[in-house]
Amino acid sequence: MKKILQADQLKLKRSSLLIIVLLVPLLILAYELVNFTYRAEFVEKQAEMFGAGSMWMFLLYDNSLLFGLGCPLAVTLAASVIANIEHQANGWKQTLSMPISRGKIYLSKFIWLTISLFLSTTIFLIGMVLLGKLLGFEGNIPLVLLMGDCYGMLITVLPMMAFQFWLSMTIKNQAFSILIGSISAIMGLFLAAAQTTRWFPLAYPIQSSTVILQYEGIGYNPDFSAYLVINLILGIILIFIGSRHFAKRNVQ
Amino acid sequence: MNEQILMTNDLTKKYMKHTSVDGINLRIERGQIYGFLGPNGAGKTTTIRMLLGLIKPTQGTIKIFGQSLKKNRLQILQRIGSLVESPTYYGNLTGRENLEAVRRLRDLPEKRVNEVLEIVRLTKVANRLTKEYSLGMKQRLGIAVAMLSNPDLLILDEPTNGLDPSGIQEIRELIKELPKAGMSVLVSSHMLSEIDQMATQVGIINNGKMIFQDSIERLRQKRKPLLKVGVSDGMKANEILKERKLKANLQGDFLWLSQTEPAFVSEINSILVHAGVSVYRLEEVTKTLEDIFLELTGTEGSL
Ligand SMILES: Nc1ncnc2c1ncn2[C@@H]1O[C@H](COP(=O)(O)OP(=O)(O)O)[C@@H](O)[C@H]1O
Ligand SMILES: [Mg+2]
Repeated sequence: MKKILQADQLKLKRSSLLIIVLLVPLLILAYELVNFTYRAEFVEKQAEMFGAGSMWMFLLYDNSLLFGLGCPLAVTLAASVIANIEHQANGWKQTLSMPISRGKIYLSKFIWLTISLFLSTTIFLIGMVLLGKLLGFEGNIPLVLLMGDCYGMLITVLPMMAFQFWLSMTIKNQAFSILIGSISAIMGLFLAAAQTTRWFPLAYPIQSSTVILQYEGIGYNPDFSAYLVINLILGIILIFIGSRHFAKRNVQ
Repeated sequence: MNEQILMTNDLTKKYMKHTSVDGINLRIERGQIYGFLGPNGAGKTTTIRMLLGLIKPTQGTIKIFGQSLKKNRLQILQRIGSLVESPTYYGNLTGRENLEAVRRLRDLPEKRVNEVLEIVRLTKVANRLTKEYSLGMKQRLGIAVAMLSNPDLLILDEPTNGLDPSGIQEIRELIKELPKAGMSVLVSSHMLSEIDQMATQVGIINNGKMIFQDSIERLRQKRKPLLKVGVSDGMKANEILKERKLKANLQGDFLWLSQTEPAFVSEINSILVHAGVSVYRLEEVTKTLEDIFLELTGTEGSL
């Protein structure tokens, strides 16, 4: 498996994957930087109104919507880039006539997708810490909450990763999977807005934050652990189904 | 020497109602260069995809190295190198990196990369991005990938596609050398002349059906010269020859006979002239392999 991962790593060289990995966290961080400097007064008032314990808490609350929308988009694009490397190279017939099980080939690429998103969320994590320090937020850095937001997202977005990856791997035209991914991300936003539909797994990334706004103000998200458990299990099931289907396909 | 390394039984692939490959029984023995010949759309690539386990046959079985492909796909693929149709190349990588990616996948020794680059003469351009390669260079890269693992069976689908004449010559010489190292080769082509120059065994496929499978010598025997006789009255001449138990074939204004020795030719001439038929042409005609091919396929001009 290590060899397959190394081969896939080489195939990703000079691809646009790195740009996508950087794009989403940097855009959100840039937005927050502008928000907390140019609109500092407004932000402080809002933080007070929402009863945020600290500016850290407000930052966590403020970016969860953008991150919940941006992360599924990053997933969509990264899955597309990784799969498209083989499509574009006319590579499936070569790669799949190697003496390697198709399941492993599928899994190796999925691991690279996971690594990409891990990098993306880690950059976001580091970026948030730096942002807080730069702007002189008071109080201790709530590292557990920050990490929960970032890596929790990685788990709530797992079913979406599994589905988008399967789409991009099996359908050559990447415009299709990117369209589906974008619609899903926006659907998630709408589903999350209503009390009943917010329990759809598709709506979890949007709500995947350690803190949320409640009647009493910004506080811990009581549903977060449920989201994590449900989407972790769902994600693993979808990865399994996707790889089984991939292994049985005819290769053109 | 007569070890069968590849054997298919009634191999069939249907797409919807269209049968692309129709009950093929391929037989390849160790050390053979098997030329798989057929016009475009005959079913060569479809057959090869099935041999590599890329697509599943609708019907029939495949045995390679004595094992069932269905049951032992990975073990069999371990000993095969292949190039299928238009070449695979990762345009964002150099030629060397392309080979390195395959080397890692197959877990082969590092020195093989330089060896195969040398064999296909890509060493000079090995560090250039493959998206800048010409079609011929991409094709040679594909052959290098196929040879990387030093396979026992090399499957090359139209390997000379897009190569210039000197490139074709090079690849041909390369392929002819392979059996010396114990390798067997399945090479497909739509050009008879190409197969004629390198294959030891020929299988001809047309419309999904195998219409000829034998040694190249047997195919060449079909090329024996014929005697073409132009006469004033074909019907009458044919009757006269028949009376003398000489088998002739009347086609249009010409009679075709299967012997061309000088004594035989003058005898025919004298018989006909004495019987009052005027002979205006006596010609020895050698059928080209193309003629034979067209005869077999019955698809004139489709090559
Ligand atoms: N995926 C497919 N779906 C439908 N028809 C196909 C498919 N692949 C090949 N064919 C048909 O099968 C026939 C044989 O094609 P192919 O094996 O590529 O021929 P060759 O390699 O000899 O030129 C053609 O008529 C082609 O249109
Ligand atoms: Mg073909």
